[in-house]
Amino acid sequence: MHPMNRRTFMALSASSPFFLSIDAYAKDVPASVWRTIESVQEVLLPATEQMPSAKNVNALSFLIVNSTSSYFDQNDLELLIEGASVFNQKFSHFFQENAEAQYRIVELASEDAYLEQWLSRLIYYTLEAMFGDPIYGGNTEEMGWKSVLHVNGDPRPKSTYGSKV
Amino acid sequence: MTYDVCIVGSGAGAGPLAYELSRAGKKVVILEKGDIYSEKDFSKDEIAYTKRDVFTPKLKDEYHVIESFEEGKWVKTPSYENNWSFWNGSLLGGSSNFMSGFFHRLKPNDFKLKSLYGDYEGATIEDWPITYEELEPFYERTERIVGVSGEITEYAHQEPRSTAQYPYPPLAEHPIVENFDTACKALHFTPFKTPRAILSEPKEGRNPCYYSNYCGSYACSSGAKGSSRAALIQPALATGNLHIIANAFVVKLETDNTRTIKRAQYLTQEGTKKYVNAKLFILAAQAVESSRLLLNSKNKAFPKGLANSSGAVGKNMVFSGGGIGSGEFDLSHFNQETLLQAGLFVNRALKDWYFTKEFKGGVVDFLFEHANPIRRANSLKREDGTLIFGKKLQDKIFQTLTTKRVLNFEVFNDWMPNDNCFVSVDEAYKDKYGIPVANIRIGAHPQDVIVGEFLAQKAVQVLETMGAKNITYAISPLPPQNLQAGGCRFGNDPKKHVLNRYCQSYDIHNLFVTDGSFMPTGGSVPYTWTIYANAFRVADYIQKNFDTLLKT
Repeated sequence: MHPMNRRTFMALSASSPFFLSIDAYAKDVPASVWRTIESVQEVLLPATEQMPSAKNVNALSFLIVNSTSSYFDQNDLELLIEGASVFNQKFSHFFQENAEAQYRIVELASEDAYLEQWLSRLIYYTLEAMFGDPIYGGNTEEMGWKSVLHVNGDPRPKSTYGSKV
Repeated sequence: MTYDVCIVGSGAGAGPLAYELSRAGKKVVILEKGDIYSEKDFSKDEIAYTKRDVFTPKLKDEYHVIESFEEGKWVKTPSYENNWSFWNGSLLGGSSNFMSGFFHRLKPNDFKLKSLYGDYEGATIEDWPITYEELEPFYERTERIVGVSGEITEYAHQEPRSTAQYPYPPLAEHPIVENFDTACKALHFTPFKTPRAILSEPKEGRNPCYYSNYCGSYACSSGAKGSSRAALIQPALATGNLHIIANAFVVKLETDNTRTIKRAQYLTQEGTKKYVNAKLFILAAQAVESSRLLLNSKNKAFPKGLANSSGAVGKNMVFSGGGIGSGEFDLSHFNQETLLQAGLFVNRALKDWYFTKEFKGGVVDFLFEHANPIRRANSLKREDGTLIFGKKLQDKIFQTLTTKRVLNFEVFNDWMPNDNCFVSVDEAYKDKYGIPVANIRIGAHPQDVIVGEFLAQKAVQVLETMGAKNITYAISPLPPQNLQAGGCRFGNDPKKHVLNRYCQSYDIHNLFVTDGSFMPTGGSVPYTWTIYANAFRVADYIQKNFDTLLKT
């Protein structure tokens, strides 16, 4: 486990240009965190001949919207935000690199136990965007389902999070 | 108003009481912790049904304490720390909405395991105070009223039946069952055809199964699945005699220092205290929560908790022994269209070793891995423990989901009751309402794992003979949280047992407990059918003796 906890992170954020008014909740997450997450998602799940990329299925927007739900795991949200910040600090040159170099940076990051956890959670929520019902804002035009010949269940949800019709 | 009957909970242990007593003209009220849903509210939404706490309380608000044996001592861990939820469905119909509906009866010898096999050191097995023959008419009633589909398999341990066949024909099956049956024949095993609590034909306002491919863990949108809500509570509501109070968390059953419960105290979602008065009370909140409520209902007259003069409330909890395994099938076994054909069932089991000469065995049910693409894709992100990503992960997801299908098996064997498997309450751990939560000590008997391993090996043999690839399994001493029973044993001795043979409290004459709490042993099957059948049996008894019961 990475030694950084929420308290040390808050102290760090106060002195860093990346983190102006960060509170570890989605409403106040700075754009830089989302920018990092978006770029790393594209490395984790890029477009291939058969599969859509994270961006194709609207993975960032899915995460921003759904992380504000009361059903979203707050520990996960904290990990996603803090992990992005740690990644930014350790690999500040990430954005200037080409795709191949970015892959190697993520590979290197995955050797760190804390960042490995962060990447693992990020893959998970990107897969939610890819294969969840489009009502949540991901899986654009059912691209994820179609790519793997998945037959969706019927009926599809008419509202999110099981709320009554 | 004073109701004739107040039922706490609305799952499998509650539905038969609501159904029978409301039809008999009794004024019945159900206090349900969750909300009221109907078929039109349900959907096949993997995120809502399997990835969030939508139909169960949030663990940070309402949790359990799991007490496990670690490094030589019992350690308590709140479930919000390990994310191990023992809630199984807080909504009308309870967890029966989400069951897979593998319906197996117990067998005559399940009612007398102690007589059959003798004592096991470290186990607290007891014979039941009733026989299979007494329960059989109610298994049959469940088949008809809840709806069971299937076809009888003749084999060594087939239990006696009062009817020749199930009332509904078998559900449609995937062609893989031919491979399964062929493999079993080659091995001289019996390919047992698993009955399901899923309608294959319409029944009184309920539509048959439409093979949605999203069944286990999902509430049914057609009413085909025999949930307590669809099969029993909806018809009971039609009598006009049943009233449901939703979002009502019962926190105390109150006596007036007599042997009679006068009222149930419940909290609304906002935490406001309210009360319901009734002549008779039925507790069916699922085994863990039922014991918790009785223990939390202690008062001056009942300082150890209600119905607990024996000290046995919460004791002798049983879950299910066993575990899960799987094997892969791909385009070398079937063409892609056949392999990926969605919605069709497997409905096969192994039951040849339900009893052996030396020990009590169990059941292995086979089923396709659930459709859930998020879970399946996410399960592919590690190789030898190392995270994979990028094109490698995308290719693996594509290959796996388009060319492979996993046949799972689930092993069910008796969870030996023992002195280290019980529910208690501890004032140090309270939920957001300030109510002590259930502490669940989860000690397992070593025999459970031995039997589970034995059965898993039989399943592996079948998968190997079928030519499955990447066969794996895991047998665990940890309890499956959705298979709960025990805690309020029934029996013939008021000094040892909480309930009499009709599941009536020895201490409180107007209290019955009708979820799985009564079971001294669980059988080697999922409990739902037995809970339904027993609840019908108790309903029959109450209906015939209602006035006498109130005078006792």
